[in-house]
Amino acid sequence: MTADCPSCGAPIAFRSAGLPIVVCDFCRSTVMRRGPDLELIGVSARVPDTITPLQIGARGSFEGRAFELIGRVRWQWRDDDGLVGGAWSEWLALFADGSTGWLAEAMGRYTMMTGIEPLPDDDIVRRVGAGETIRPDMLVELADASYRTIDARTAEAVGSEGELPFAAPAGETLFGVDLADAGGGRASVQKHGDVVTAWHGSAVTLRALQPRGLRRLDGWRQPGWAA
Amino acid sequence: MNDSPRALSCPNCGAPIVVRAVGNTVTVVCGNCGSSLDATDPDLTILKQSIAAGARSRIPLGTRGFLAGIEWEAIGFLERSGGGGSWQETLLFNPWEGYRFLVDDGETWRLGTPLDRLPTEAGAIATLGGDRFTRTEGYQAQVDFVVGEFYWRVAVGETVDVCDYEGPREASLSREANAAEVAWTRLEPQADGVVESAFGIAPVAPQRSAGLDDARAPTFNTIVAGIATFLLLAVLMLAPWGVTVLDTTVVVIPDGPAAAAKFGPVALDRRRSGVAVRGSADLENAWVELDFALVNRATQERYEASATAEHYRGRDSDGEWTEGDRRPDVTFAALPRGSYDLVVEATAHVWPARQSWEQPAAASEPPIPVPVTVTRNATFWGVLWLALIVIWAIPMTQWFFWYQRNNDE
Amino acid sequence: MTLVGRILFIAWCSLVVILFAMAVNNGWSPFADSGRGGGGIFVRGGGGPRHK
Repeated sequence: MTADCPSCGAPIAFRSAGLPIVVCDFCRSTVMRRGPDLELIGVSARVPDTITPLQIGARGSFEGRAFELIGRVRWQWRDDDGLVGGAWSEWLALFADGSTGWLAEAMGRYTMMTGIEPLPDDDIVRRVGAGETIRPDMLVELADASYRTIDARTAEAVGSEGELPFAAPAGETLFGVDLADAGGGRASVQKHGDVVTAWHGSAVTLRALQPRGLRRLDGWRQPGWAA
Repeated sequence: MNDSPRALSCPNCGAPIVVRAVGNTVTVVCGNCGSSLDATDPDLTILKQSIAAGARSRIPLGTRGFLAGIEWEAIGFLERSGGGGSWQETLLFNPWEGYRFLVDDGETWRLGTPLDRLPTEAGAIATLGGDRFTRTEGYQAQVDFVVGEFYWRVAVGETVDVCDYEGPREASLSREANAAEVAWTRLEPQADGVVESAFGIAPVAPQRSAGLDDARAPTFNTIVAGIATFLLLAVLMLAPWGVTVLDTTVVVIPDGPAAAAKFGPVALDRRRSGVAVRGSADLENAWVELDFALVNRATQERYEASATAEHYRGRDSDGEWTEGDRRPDVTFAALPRGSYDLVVEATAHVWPARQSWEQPAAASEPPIPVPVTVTRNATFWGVLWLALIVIWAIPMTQWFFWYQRNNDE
Repeated sequence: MTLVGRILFIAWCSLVVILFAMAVNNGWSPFADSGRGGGGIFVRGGGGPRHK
């Protein structure tokens, strides 16, 4: 499905049926879908250059389910001195059944996560919602599984592109706690505005995702598996 | 989008700065002036000016090399110390695989992979992927020197709490924790020369100069020593075998006059021969002193040797004891060709049973028959042992040092 | 192990094998109690013929 950008008139492609936000590739306008109507709600910052083999349109397979990357939000966090401590990309993966997940890419490491329903007595969800301090290496329970906290940070969006479930203008903030278990399982509890969401999935290698349509990188020989 | 290395210049000294892992790198340390720069800022704000110069990385930054089929680029270098030692770490990057650490303690390279799964800890044991790792004493590690680019805010003087866990096949886990994060790394030792050849750098000369303790296992010398051992045994097989050429008996009366007898001839048909003479006596609490001489009939050249057949038995506070050799032999080396007589002189003494040592012998002890044999072309096993020792001493010493060195690590 | 080290060790082993072959062929031993040519180096007494 395609439409014209209400700001610049360039064609906009919708790969998903249900996602409300799309960022125009040409003018960076953030466009919201309301039924058949397109509404201009702002301008997205460009995602800064990063060395990554991923790109919108790349395909792969996670736990036997085919997916395609359709959007990206770049986040960064600041340390106590206000300096940027690091940044990562969250790639929105659209699975064949229409559901979505986030493929996080940080420092050459990847985690795929999909949304879960936390249990009412999951303490970590309450603590994140209340904005409590979370230390690393704490044992926590989430949706009947045990994890250890690996970090807890407030992140700010630096840029976004493609189709997204929410608008991520530069400076938009998100508080997230990352959790890991001994089997390579990952989970996350995030507070975006007043909404607390829970996610789980696992750490993956790029190779294990059997990626197709990756970006070529100048000066690097593409591995055989990354066709 | 642009993913080629970003070329910038140091705001402090103007030297060129290259950021290779664009987007990941947050700190760049200028290789020229040592200033720490904020790579997340397009202007490369100076975080910290000039730090003391340290050692250079053995792998020049920007060098690429293949380890286990993956191409890595050296992008950062750290010198760290703690727990009574110091080591160097080179940060490797590949856009598809992420980061690795090459840890160089001056003897072995180890490749460190940041873990994306946590080991299971129970007491002092951490389990990861079926391997068990044993915790060792923790220590604080600090950064002493840094150059290049890093995906974290690295700073000289920063410390972390480190705990190493030793696992199978010299692999280990390292747990590094600061107030904000816990990071696990799995370290695998790299075979000698692998890292050097991958990155095209010169291997380090062995630290100890003795030459005996080479870092590599002395497999070659062991094989050579094995071949030599085989040749020694082959020589022994091909040499003339021992033949008993004289078998006789001397009868000696205890405390009587010396029994003297001459036997012969003993024919030695080779240019030079080894000869063994064995006297045996079935005796208890007695000795027989045997003086042997081989006399060349033609030249009257005389070769002498003596032996004592003896055996004692008794009882003391430790219980029963026995000592002595009832069948002593004497060896004659390299006797010239010829016909020889064997001259035997024998004396004997017997302590009668159940009498104290001081008591003189009872009236008449029976005469003792002493069978004597002469063996021509006797095999002198001592020579074989000597040859084996001088051959094997060298590889065994090397194995000892090799084992010791590998246990140190 | 350097190449020189390896060659030296091969030479050393060859020398030992040759000396051993000569010793076996001549019935010679440094441990012998008597006899010719160095017998008794390591044990009591001494080598060489004695005339009575």
